[in-house]
Amino acid sequence: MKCIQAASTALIGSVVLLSGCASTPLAPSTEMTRAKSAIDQADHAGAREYATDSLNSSVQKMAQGQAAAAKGEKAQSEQLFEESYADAHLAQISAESAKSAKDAAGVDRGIATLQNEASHATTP
Amino acid sequence: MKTLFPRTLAATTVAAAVSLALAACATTPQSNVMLEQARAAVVSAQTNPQVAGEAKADLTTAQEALAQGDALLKAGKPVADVDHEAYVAERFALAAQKGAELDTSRKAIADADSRRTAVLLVAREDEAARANEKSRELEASLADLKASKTDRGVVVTLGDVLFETGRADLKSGSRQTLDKLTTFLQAYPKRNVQIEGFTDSVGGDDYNQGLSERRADSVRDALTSMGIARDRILTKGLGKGSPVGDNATAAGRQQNRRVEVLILDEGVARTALMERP
Repeated sequence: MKCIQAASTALIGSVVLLSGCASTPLAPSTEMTRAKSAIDQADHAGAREYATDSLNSSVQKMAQGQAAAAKGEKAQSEQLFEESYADAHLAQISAESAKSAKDAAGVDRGIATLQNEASHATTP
Repeated sequence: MKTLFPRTLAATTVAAAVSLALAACATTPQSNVMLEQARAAVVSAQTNPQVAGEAKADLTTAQEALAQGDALLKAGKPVADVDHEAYVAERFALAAQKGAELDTSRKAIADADSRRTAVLLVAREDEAARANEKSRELEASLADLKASKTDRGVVVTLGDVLFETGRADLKSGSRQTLDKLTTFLQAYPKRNVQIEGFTDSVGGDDYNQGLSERRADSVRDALTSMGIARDRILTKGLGKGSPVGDNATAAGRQQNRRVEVLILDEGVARTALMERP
């Protein structure tokens, strides 16, 4: 009897110990939602083509953040989500800027052609 | 004395430990590579005058993260936390720069219409200026040729001083007027000419007709010898017709012995003969 008592005490003790170690996964945080939406926007802006590195980094930080959140590491996961957001934001602006620069170059070429044609037309 | 020695040793040991501990505090890093990198990016964005509007908001975020990183470093907080702020600061500083580039190219696109209009306006002004210049040049050349404007076009009259009486070959003194005419026709290659010869009423009609034709041909040959294409010139003899002076007087007859060079308007075909009224 004493033996059983000792064994169960040990078992409970170890369960307590184990549960102490086991993590509680965190619910999706505001930071994560914000970063995810920024990744979507960057993707939509053409970051896959124009800002590949920043977008990849953002996605990677998101995965790391989610892994940290699953382990209950709140502070660590929040930092990673923030960095993911910063990367995604940079990727979005970079992609928009690159696309716009391309369009502007097209406009410049058009105006240069017009100028060329105009000066040729008026050359006697 | 003997007991003093171990005490001194203990004191020395404590002092050493304290100084070690202090040294440990003193070596707490006061600079962080990532933070300095972020600072450089923030300064660069700050000094970019194009950073405005939404880009300015990103710069503010970068500045705040940098300040936070500095504060954490000063407080001796974990390097990972400082690095995190530095990371965010640098990304937002770069985003501010990219935002400035975006604003610049968007503005260039938005201004495209006014830039096109400006190009066309300048071209039109240039064209008008050139047309003005051309018309001034033409006026000057015609004035130099003593040309007169008539219903049929611009007429240059070569008086009988170009010819010996009863002869069709040009006098050497006629060179200057013909040189001017040649220069004019070279400057205006789209203008063709119609050369018409006339005589006074002295002599038979057949003779005068032939003489007027030969005089017109003579002027044509002089022009072609100076490089004017023959197919730009049409000659015609009008004999004693269309007198401009009174054949009863010597002065009138001299006026009637002439060759008129009708300079046609640009593009008017040489063959489109303009009949005299």
